[in-house]
Amino acid sequence: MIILGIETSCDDTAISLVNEKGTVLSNVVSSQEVFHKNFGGIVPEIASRKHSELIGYAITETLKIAGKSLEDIDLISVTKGPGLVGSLIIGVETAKAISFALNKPLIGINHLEGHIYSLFLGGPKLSKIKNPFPLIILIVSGGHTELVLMENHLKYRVIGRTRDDAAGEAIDKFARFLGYGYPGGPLIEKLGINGNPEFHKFPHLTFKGSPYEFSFSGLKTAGIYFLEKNPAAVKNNLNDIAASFEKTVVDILTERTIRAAVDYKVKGIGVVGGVSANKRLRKTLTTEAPVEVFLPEKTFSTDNAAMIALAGYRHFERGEKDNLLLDVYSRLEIE
Amino acid sequence: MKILSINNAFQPSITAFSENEKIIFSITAYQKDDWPNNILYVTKTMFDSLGIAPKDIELVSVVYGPGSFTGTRVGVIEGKITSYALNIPIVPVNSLKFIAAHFKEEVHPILPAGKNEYFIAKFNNGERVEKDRIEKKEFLKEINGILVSPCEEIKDIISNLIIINPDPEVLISLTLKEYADGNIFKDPLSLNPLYLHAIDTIFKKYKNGRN
Repeated sequence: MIILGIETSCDDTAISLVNEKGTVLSNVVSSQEVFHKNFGGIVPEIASRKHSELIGYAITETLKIAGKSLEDIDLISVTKGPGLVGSLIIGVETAKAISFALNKPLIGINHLEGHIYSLFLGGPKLSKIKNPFPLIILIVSGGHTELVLMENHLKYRVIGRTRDDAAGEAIDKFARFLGYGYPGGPLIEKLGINGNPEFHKFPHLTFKGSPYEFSFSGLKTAGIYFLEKNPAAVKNNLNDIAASFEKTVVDILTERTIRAAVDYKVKGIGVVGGVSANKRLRKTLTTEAPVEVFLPEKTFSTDNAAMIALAGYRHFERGEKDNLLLDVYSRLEIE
Repeated sequence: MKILSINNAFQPSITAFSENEKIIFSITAYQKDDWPNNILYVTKTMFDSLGIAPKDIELVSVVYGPGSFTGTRVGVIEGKITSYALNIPIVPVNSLKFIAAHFKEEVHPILPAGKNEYFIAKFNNGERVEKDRIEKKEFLKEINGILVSPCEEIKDIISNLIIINPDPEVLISLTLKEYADGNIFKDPLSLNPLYLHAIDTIFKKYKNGRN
């Protein structure tokens, strides 16, 4: 079975062909970073315009790489939310038009559930373990920070999330204040490689009675306040400041995730989303976690359509599909 | 030639299926903001009930703007991806030309462009006299001539505005005219909406660092 995945929830136009085993036949991600970086963040109208210009060509390229045609597709799986409505709608209407023209089944998928399924794509060892459940999944990116208990395939419970900014968003905004472009995460990581992470202690907020909740807004404000008040340190110790800020974010993520893994007696921890590519987070979690930590291949940690295709297959296998009234959702919970 | 024609650049939306000039079915609808766009859904429902297969379509035409940003984009995506998947050509139809094509007289078709601005042009007997442009609300009152639009709300500004109910037959005959004139996209993916608004104009606020 061949599944066409379509993902346009933010600023990447992503198309993929995947089979029912999670083997990726081709994976194309057309980044719009160059169009947004001058604005210091994603401009929804630009994102939507670029998706509509690029999506057809991204499909053509994906088919060409895999040596397939649209006729070979057995299922179309598309991100329906959460995300930017103007971006999501381009992916969903594209999926609907192919489904209409070629009479192919269609399914709408939650972007966050897609990220969870990045762990089951081809290479990673999690896809080869017969029963890895229960798992604690940390979804961490520029738009999301959530802890999910995955009890089985397609069976989830959100046990914690951020009350304000996502972890990646806090890092991006910290980087932006330092005058770096979008996205700031990789730049802060690069700066912090040779820095002293103990240079400055940024606040580490916890919530009484809500051990799995996150908050990064206060940390972001404290970080920006520190930069404003310490111009000399910014000039002389930029690497140390970047390392300290990044370490604080990583420590908060690690502490909550490990606590959840212990409390729920899980067999493993999965870390997905763009920030899962962060080296300090990968190293800290794998060193400190009492259970095995599973990570997607780096290519599939950021937004991609292969994960959407595989999640779509799992739902389709259970008898689910959508019709041509499929809608988009700026907010969407994992069910 | 069997043609699927789509308008989603302005309200009401239109889906029409025709064989040359003869309409097999057409649906005119006001799309609600909080509902999913239903153009493909109603088209499929009509196809199924009339025993038509999407593979019977030989040409797609789509109103490609100017008009509502999102609405136009949705219509263009639906049209161009359908055309791409079926490997058939697509014909773009200008929205102001479509409105003007309802009249033999010299008319100024108008559509809202957002933020007190309007898309406007001039046509005589359906032939273009002036190119599409954007004008401020104040300018509309100074125009001498017949102003026409499908948008009732513009009547609040210009009392002598003629409101039209877009006719699918006019869309189909305009499609055939554009096709005969060779206005065809053989690579449907290269068709993009006609925005008129340049990105720089829209995103001034982002240049000031706001986000």
